[in-house]
Amino acid sequence: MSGSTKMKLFLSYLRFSFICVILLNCYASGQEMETMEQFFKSGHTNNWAVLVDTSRFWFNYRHVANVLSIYRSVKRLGIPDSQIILMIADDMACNPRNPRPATVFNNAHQHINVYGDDVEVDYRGYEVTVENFIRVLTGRLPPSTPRSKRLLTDDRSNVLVYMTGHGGDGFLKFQDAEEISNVELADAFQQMWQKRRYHEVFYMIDTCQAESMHQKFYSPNILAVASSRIGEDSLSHHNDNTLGVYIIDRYTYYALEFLEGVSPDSKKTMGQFLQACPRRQCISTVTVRTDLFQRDPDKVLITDFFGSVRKVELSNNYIQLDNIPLTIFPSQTCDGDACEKDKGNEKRIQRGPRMQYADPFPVDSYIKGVSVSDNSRH
Amino acid sequence: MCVVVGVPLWWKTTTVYRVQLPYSEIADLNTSRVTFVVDFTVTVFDERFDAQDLSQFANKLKESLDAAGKVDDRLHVEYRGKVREAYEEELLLLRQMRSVEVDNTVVDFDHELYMAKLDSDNSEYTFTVLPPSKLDKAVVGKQRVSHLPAMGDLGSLVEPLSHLLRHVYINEAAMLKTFLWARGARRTQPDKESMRAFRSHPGYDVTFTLMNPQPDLLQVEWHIQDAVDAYLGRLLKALSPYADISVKSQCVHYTGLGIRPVKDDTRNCYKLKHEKLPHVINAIEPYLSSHVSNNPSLNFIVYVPSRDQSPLHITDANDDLSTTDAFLSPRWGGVLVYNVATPPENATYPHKVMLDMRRVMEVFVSQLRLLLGVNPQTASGDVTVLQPGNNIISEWELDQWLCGRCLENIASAAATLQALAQLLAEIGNIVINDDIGHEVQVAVSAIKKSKEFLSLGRLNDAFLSSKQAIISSEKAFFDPSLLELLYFPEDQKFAIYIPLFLPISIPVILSIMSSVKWLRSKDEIKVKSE
Repeated sequence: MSGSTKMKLFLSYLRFSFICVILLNCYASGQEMETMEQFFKSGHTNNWAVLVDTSRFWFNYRHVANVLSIYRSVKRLGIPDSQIILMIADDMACNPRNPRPATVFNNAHQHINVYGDDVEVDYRGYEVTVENFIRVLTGRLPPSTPRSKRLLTDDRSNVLVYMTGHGGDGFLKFQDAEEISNVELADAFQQMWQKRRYHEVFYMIDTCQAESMHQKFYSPNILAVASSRIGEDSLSHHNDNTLGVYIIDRYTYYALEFLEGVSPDSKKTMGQFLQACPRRQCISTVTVRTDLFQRDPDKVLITDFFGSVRKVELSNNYIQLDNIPLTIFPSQTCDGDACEKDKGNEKRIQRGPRMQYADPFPVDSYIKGVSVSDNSRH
Repeated sequence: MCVVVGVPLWWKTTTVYRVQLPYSEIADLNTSRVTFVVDFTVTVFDERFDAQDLSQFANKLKESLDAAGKVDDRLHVEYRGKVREAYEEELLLLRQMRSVEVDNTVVDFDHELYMAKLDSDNSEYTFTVLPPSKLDKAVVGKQRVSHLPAMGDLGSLVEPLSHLLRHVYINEAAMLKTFLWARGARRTQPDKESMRAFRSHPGYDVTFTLMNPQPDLLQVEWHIQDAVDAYLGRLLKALSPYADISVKSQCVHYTGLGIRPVKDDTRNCYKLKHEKLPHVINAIEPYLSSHVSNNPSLNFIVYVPSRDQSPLHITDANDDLSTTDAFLSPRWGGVLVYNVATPPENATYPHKVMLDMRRVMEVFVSQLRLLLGVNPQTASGDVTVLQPGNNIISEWELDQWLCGRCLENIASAAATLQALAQLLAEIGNIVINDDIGHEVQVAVSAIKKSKEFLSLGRLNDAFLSSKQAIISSEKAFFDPSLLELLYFPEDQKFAIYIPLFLPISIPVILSIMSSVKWLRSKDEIKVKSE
C-alpha cells in the first residue's frame, strides 16, 4: 500500500475518533434524556444479518457449522429469514460423506442440530464470491435480483455481519479462488454508511489473524469482534470421529453456547457477549474494536444485534370514519328491521370484475369431457 | 517511431473510461439554500372593516411573516399573501350560515366555500375572517381554508394567523428536521417522528392479514376488498400521482401469537403486556414478507384470539387496557386484536363471524397515515382542527406531506450524488459509463428544477421533479457496473507486473548499459584520433 493511502486512512481515522469523542461528550450532556421510554432506547427499528461462510469442501465442515450456529441463534431470537442473507459455500448437510444426512451438529455429542428444520440459504456454492458479498453490502445488485438476496436496510437498521473461513493477515479467502482484503471490506462499509444503509453494525469474524480484518474500518457506528490477534491462529474446538473432521471452531462454539442462554426478552448485553470466550477457552485472543461505536457495549442489549425486538407504540388515537355499508352480505351488526333499512340506502361500491382462482384440479371437467373417449389407459 | 506510436497507444488503451460528471454542481446542490414559497389569501367577511384597515393589516402581517420566514440558513420559507374583502357570493354563503351556537355550521360553510371555488382553483391557503357572531374559535377546515373570528380589531389577528400558517399548515420545525436529517445530520437524538415513518420511497406495498388461529371453530370473514375500496380508496387516489401503493390481503390460519397472554382474573380477560408486544411481531413475521417487489412493505394484521385466550386485551405500561387493542411498530405496520363473541353452545362449527370493517379500517388508516409520514395533527387549545373523516387526509395535510417529502427527496438525492462523487473521486480506477453519467445529469437537473418549482410555490411539480431526482440518483449510485476494479492494493499491482517486466527488463537494462559503454568508447576513440 502506498504511503499516501495510509496517511489518508490514518487522517480519516483521526477525524472519526475526534467526532466520536465530541459525540460522547454530547451524549454525556444529554444524560437527562436517559429516562426515555422503550421506544427511544436505541435508534434502530429493524435488524438484519449477513452471515457468510467462505470455504467449501468437506474438511471445512466446521466453517459451515460456525455460520449455521449464528444463523440458528439470530433466527431463534427473532430475525426473520427475509432479513437474513445467508451465504454458504458448500452443502455439508447433504454431503455424501455426512454419516447423518440433513444434520449439522455443534459438537460430537450431537447436542444441537444447527441445521434445524428450515434453513434458507440465499447465496450458495459458487455464488459465494467476493463480488457478490460486496454487492450485497453496497446494494449494487443487478435489477433482476430477487428481494430475498438483497440487503434492503435503511438508516434505522442494525446489521450483524458474521464471516468465517480461512484468513490471513489482511484478507479472508473465498473458496480457494479469491480473497477479500480488509481495505475492500472497510470501503464497503463506508459506502453503506454514506448511503445511509445502516444505523449500527456489529461485525464478527472467526478466522485466523481475524483482527486484521477490522483494523482498517473507518466508518462510524461499527462494533467489531474478531476471534484472534494478528499472528495467532483461530483453532477448532474438537474432532468428530464419525465425521473424520473438526466439527466447529472454538470461538463460535462458545459464542453459540452463550447465545443459547439468551431469550428474545433477555437483558444480557453486548459487553457480556464480547467476553464469551476468554483466552483459556479460545486459546486465541479475542479482540474487540469499540472506538468507532458510539454506545457503551455494556449498555447495549444483545438483542439489538442478534434479535429483532421491534419498537412498539400503542395506537390509542384514531380517525373516526363514517360507516360505508359493504353490501355483499348483510353484516352481523344489523338484524331484522335495521337490515331492511340498510338495504334501502345501500350504495354499491364500484370496482372491477371479481378475481377468481383457477381450479387446480379440474376433476369434474376432466371426467365430463374425457369419460366418453376414455378407452386408452396410460 | 516506437515512442510516437506506442506511448499514445499505451495511454489510450490503459486509461479508465470515465464520463465527466458535474462535480462542482453536485457540491453546490448540497450546500445551497432551498427557498419555499407559500401563497395565501386573507378574506375579510366582517363588514366593519374598510379598505384602510385591510391595507394596514396586510402590512403588519407581512412584517410579522417576513421576520419569521428565515427558518434556517439552509431553508427559507417565504410567505406571500394578499388581503381582500369577501366577494358577494361568499357573503351570501356567510348569511346562510347560522349563528355560533348551532353545531356543524362551520363544517357546512367550509364545504360550501370550497364548492364555490371562488379563488382560482382552491390551491392557495385561505383564511376567512368572520364576524364573532358566527364563530367563537379558530377552525382549521378540511381543505385549505381556515376560519378566524374577528374578536377585536384586525391587528389582533396577526398572531393567530401567522401561528396557523407557520405551525399548522407549514410545520416549519418538522420540515427543517426532515430536511436536515435527509441531508445527513444523523447525530441528533432519535425521535419518534423520524423513526416511525418510512423514508420517502417511490412505492409501498401494503398487506392486510387476517390471522385466525382456530378456523375449525370460527369461520372469520372480512370484506377486505370492499373495505379497501370504500375506506382507503380516497387516500390511495389522493396519493396515486406521488407514490405507487399496492394493496394485498391474505388470511393466515392455525397460527398463534407465539407468546402466552397473562390471565387477568379481576377483569376476566387475558392480557398482552406492553413490553411483550415486540415478540408478537417476531412470531408472525415469517408469514408476511413479500418476495416480489423491493418496496418497503407495510403490514396490517387483524388477530382474532383463539377461544382459550378470549377476550384478549392489550395493556399499557400502567396496566390499563388499551382503548383500541391495537399497536403500531415503526416502519413495519400495525396489529389489531379483534375480539369476537364466543359461539353459542349449540352452534355448528365452524361458526361464521363477520368482522366490522369500519372498526378495522379506522385503526389501520390512522396507522397508515403515521407510517407514511403524515404528521399527526397537533390540536392546541384555541384551535379546532376539523377531522378529515372519510377523506382520511385533508388537502392541507397532503400539501404538508408533499412539501416534507419533496424537501426530503431533494436533500437525500443531493446527498446520494455527493456520496457517489466522493466515491468516484477517491477510487481513481473505477469505470464511469455513459448510463451513470446520464442518470447523474438527470438527477442534477431534476433537483434544480424541483428547487425552482418550490421557489415558485408550485408544490405538485416540485414533488414530481424531486421524485425523478431520487429515482435517478439511486439508479446511478446503485449501478452494478460501479463495483468492478474497486480496489487494487499497490503490492498486488507489483506482484502482477514483476513477473511480466522482470524477464524483459534484464536484457533491456543490460543492452542499455552496453550501448552506453559503446558510446563512451566511441567518444574516446574520437578523442584519440584527434
